[in-house]
Amino acid sequence: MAVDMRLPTVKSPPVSVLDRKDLVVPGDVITSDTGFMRGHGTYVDEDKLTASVAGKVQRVDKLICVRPLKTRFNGEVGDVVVGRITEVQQKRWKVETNSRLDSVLLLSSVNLPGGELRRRSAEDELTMREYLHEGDLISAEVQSVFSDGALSLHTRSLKYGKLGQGVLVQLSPSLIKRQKTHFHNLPCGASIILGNNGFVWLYPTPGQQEEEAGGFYTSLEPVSLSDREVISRLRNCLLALAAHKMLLYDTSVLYCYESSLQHQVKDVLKPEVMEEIVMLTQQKLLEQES
Amino acid sequence: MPTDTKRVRGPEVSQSPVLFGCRPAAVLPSHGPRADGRQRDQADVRPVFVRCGLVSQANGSAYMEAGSTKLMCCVYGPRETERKDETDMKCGRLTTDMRLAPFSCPVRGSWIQGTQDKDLSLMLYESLQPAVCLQKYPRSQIEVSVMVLENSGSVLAHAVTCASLALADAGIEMYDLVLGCSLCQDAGSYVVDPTYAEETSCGSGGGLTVAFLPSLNQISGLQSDGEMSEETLTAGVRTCIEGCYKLYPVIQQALIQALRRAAPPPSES
Repeated sequence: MAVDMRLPTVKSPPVSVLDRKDLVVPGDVITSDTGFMRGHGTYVDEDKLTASVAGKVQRVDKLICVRPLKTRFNGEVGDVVVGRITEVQQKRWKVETNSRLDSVLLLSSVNLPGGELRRRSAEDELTMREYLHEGDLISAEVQSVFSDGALSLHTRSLKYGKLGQGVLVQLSPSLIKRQKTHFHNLPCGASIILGNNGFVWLYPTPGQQEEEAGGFYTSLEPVSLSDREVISRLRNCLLALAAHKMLLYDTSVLYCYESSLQHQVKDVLKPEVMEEIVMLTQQKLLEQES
Repeated sequence: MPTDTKRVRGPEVSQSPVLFGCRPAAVLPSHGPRADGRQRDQADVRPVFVRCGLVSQANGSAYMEAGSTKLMCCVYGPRETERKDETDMKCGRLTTDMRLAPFSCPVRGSWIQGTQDKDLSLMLYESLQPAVCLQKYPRSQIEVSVMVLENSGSVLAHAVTCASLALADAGIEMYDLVLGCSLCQDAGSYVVDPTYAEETSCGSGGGLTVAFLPSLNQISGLQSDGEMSEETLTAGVRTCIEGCYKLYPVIQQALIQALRRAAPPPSES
């Protein structure tokens, strides 16, 4: 087996337009002017607005926030998330969604097989583990946010539900661009769910949907080699984009996929190839904009 | 039991080689400049090297070197508390775990956490806890674990600094960074940021470790042992604070550098 080895290279300092003024560390005084409002990541100490997280200062009119660059997912109502079931409890599932607290999926907010208006009986509570058990991946939408910041999810649509065969890529939530839809059937033969929580799910585009199953049906048919290759390539492209801090949305992923076609799937992860592909993607995105 | 004649058997009783090794000069000069050329009675701290983000698995991490004291800190969380029996769920829980690696001291220790490690963990907790905005993290826990790779004196003080840096790197809300500085008193004068040899040689004199919030100008933790008069204690605290201020720009720079490396994508607005 050929092994790719390389010598350590000097990392070129990342080109960054941010200067020292934008970045603050906890305890830094942002302003002592009382005319500003206190946003996230700040606190007021004797009329001085002080940062409480390390991050970038953002000003919107009179509101000053500090956005931490490395953060967990702060969910909002309507966000699409991909998560993993960690616990089955009374009438609820606990879901790990990369947020500070585990999210909750209530039994009453899922579509059970057998129609929308089905009454939930005690029997359903007992068979909860049959629908979703620990370790299952689901896609869901944030229904509400509790006062302590925990999320309540729902899967009351046929597009949400249990995820079957595919690949999960875990990235930073700040890299996902908020869009109208986070479900995309890419023309390259695979589908993608860009979860707002930074979890991205890649799966072969399903053929005919079996609707009666209500989101709990998972296809176990073998996936063809070509589909698997496409998915692996997409995964490597996502990692390349994330390594260069590019925003992820359908167009950027697709352009990156197209630019990577001249390389082998495994080569996409090599740093120099990664850089080249990302450059090409950026160029394409710029061309498309203008 | 039959003896194996082919095998070289060691002596019945064995001694640790440490006993035979020549000890470093036990008597350190108690006047004039210190062994490493620093001045006495001044906030003369050792130069430090700090970097953030060396452990990819952790949410935040930091590595710190001061002289040859080397330590690393990882922060995991905030994540949901495992223990549900706590009645007070309004604010988060901070747990600290500080360990000295077995090879960190001149005399080998064990992997099992000893009483010294537990004391250090507790003092680390008390120094960090006032600085973290725990009320912002209901029902969550934040785990801080510090591993001392080489103990060359003032471990606790540097652990505090390193841990606060790792917490900031993890994006946890804090009122301020926490900086630590320690001093040791021997024979009328004191040495700031003592080395291991200095720490052990001045057994009778007192030791003092201060955790300080520089921009709030508050002390979050103070630990002192040995004999010390009131005046020397106050003077010592003041000197430690001075030492903390010397560290402050270095720590800020390290954090800014880490932030810049993780620069966000250009925000589309």
